[in-house]
Amino acid sequence: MTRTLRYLLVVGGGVISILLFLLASASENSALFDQHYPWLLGLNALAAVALLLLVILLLTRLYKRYRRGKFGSKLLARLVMLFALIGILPGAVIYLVSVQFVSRSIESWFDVRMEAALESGLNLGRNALDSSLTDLAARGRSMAQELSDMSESEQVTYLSRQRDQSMEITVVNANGQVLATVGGRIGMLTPILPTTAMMRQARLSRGFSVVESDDSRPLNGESDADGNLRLHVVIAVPASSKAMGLQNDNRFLQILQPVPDYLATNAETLRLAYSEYQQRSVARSGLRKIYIVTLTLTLLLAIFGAIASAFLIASDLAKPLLLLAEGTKAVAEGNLSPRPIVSTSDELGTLTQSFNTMTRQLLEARTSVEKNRAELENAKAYLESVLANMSAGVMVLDSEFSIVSVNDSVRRILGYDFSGSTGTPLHTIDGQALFAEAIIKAFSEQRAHLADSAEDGLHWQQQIELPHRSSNGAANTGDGAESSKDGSKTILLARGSHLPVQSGVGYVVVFDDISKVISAQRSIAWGEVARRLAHEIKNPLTPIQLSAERLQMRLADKLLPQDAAILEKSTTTIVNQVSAMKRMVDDFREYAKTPPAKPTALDLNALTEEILHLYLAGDGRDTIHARLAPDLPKVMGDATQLRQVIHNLLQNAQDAVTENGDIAPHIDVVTELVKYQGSDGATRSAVRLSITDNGPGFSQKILASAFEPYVTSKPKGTGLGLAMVKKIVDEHGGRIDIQNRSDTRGAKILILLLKLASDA
Amino acid sequence: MLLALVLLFCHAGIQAAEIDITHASLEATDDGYRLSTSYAFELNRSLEDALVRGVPLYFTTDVQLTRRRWYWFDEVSISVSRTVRISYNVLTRQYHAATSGQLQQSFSSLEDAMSLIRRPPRWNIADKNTLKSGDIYNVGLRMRLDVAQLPKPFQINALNNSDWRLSSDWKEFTFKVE
Repeated sequence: MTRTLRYLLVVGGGVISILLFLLASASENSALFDQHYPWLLGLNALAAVALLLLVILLLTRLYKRYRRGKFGSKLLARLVMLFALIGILPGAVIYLVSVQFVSRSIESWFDVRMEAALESGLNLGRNALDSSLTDLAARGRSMAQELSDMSESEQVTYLSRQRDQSMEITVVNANGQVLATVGGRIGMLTPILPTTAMMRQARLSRGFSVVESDDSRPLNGESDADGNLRLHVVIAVPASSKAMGLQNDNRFLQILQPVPDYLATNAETLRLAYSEYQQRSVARSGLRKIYIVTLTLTLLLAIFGAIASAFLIASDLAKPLLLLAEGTKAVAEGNLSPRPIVSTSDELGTLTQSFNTMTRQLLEARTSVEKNRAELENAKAYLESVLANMSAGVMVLDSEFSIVSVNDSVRRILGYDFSGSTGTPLHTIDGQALFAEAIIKAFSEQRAHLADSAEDGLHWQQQIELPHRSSNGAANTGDGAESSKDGSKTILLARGSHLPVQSGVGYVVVFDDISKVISAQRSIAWGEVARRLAHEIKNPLTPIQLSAERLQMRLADKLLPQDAAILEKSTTTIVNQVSAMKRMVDDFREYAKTPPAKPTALDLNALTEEILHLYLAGDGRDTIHARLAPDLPKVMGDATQLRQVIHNLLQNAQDAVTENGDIAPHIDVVTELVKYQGSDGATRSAVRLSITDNGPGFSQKILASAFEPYVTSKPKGTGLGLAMVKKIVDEHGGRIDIQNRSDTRGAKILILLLKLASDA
Repeated sequence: MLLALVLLFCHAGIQAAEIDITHASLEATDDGYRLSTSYAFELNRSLEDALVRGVPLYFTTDVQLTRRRWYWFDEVSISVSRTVRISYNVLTRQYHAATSGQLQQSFSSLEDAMSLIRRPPRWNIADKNTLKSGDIYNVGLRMRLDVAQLPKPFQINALNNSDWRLSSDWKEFTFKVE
């Protein structure tokens, strides 16, 4: 309910009360309202109509809200109905009783006997007046009889003799001229004269006689009330029998006599009472209408007022309840903002206050819960990201060895995308049967072991060898060091443990590709073997050589030329073979005992050009093409060792392209600057040297283990060239990749030098 | 009920014309402007009954002289009304008719008394110099039973009883001041 409506109701209530009061007062007999009574009635009706409209407006509003199911409208409707009922019922009862009462009682005022009594009284009065009038007329007639014979002077004396106290006797002729007059009231100069109508009637009949009210004053208001009655008799004086005089013709005697006071007063009272009674009797239907209309208007005003106030009271009463209900609804929807407080000191006020306290506490509780949840989520997300970015593969399996979850590294290590395989048993997944078998075996072994020793074994650890994935070699060797020995196995170090999950047993397997580690270990082992072997072999070589030379020197002269030639040939063979073996041993020692690199700032381009110069000089077929980046930063490197690296690689490339046959040999040497993002997020630079040829490329087997010593495709190679290169590059903190070119035949070797002179 | 009341009020506005104005003329005399009129109507049973039972009846004649004005509402030059009161004295069985401000006349019969109303004496409605000479005035004339002077119950009766609504239409005629 709006504020305007409220004010309207208050003002309207005041106006209506005044109108009703006026209406009620008007029912009395007061002259003030007589004239404006219809207006007053109309105003009241208008007020009732206005209230009706207001009530209709309010009811429609309520109905619409009710239909729309607006919150709180039901309560409001109930309250309004209740209050309205409380207002209407007693009003209606009182109204009915009053209407009955008024109708009956008004009728009961007018009973027949009363009317008859008044009628009789009136008749009595009339009779009394009539009889005195008749008396007066008879007396007048006798006077007229006597007057007819008298002369004018006699008339006056006669009249004054005849005259009573209050009687006024006048004799006039037909023209209205006064012939004689006696009596008359004080202060009245001219006597009252009979009208021509009276005279005519007097002449035609025995005389004119009437009772009339003596109202010589002008009309003002209810003049009937105090009219003095008088008897008025006009009699034609008979023509004189003895003197047929001129003037005696057509004379009239007029007698005016006031009705005696006692009679006049009583008659007047009676007349008034009778008139009043008759008036009311005539007007009683109107009177009843007045009462009923007044009552009806009052009832309507009261009812509409009651309904309107019912709206006021109901909305007042329902407001805090609605606020509370809205509040609970809002709380249910999750809105915990404080509600407006009803500022009353009663229970409703305290209720809203405590409600607000409750919502505040709820809010606090929820905030803390959410904070905790956010923290948990953060922790979980952190853990997940740690897990996802771990290099080791983590795989969670349930009791049936179905996949529960895996991290990103699993895909890299096992070469299979598990993202769609959650819930499928591991051993049914294509290509993972071996892995699954190994894991299941390991877990069952552990369980057997646990059952045996009854000790709390935490986890198992096992190396698992898996056949190398048979996808194309270029992709697999992209990582370079991932390849393992024999080129067909991936070696995983797997650890497994039980995981308590919600539904019984689960397993978690953590595994890592340790092919690289094993490869490195092999290199180290090889180095050691080579060094020892070289040492052991080299020691006897010198004595062998010396002995052979001495044999030739001493025996050459003593032998026959034929034998000498054989000796010569044999010793030469021994010496040559020994020196070849020495060289080979030196090579081994070289590999095993490469002196530690002494890095200095080095211009890779200059070094490359210098070496290329040597190759280009003897090359007439335009085989080698260099494309050197001009603004290459200086790298930290050992010039001697790097020179050997480039030499070795170029040598390999040249060897490769010589087998080309009819394809034009082509070797590219490229240096370039590479930008990459370091682990701390900063952008860093590196220098890359790549040498590409269009030879036959590496065979699959070589590709897998090219950097291991004694692996070679060349008939005369030691197999140490690439091993050497790898070793040097590793010592320089660089990386080396070998690949077969995917676009065309040939091999590509990439060396990435990460240590730049500016960094050092 | 309420609606009925409202309807009544509306209805009261369109009263049936039961008084005919048979003659109406205005003439300029040396004293002023004299209105002579005559009406034709009969008292119905209810009114006569009320009168005989002592209820005085009031007949009011309204006269309005207006002059047309092009720029505003019509100017009301003269607006006068005169009321004749007619009553019956049950005791003396006489009818009294009185014009406001004048002496009361008594009649022994209702017809005589009514003749005063039906053919009233000439009525000097205004002084000589009230109207501008040469102008044309619109004269409106009406006679009606003045319910407002009756006691309240009769007023209520008049609201929904056509017997108690006695009135003539406005009779309009023009009058040129010489």
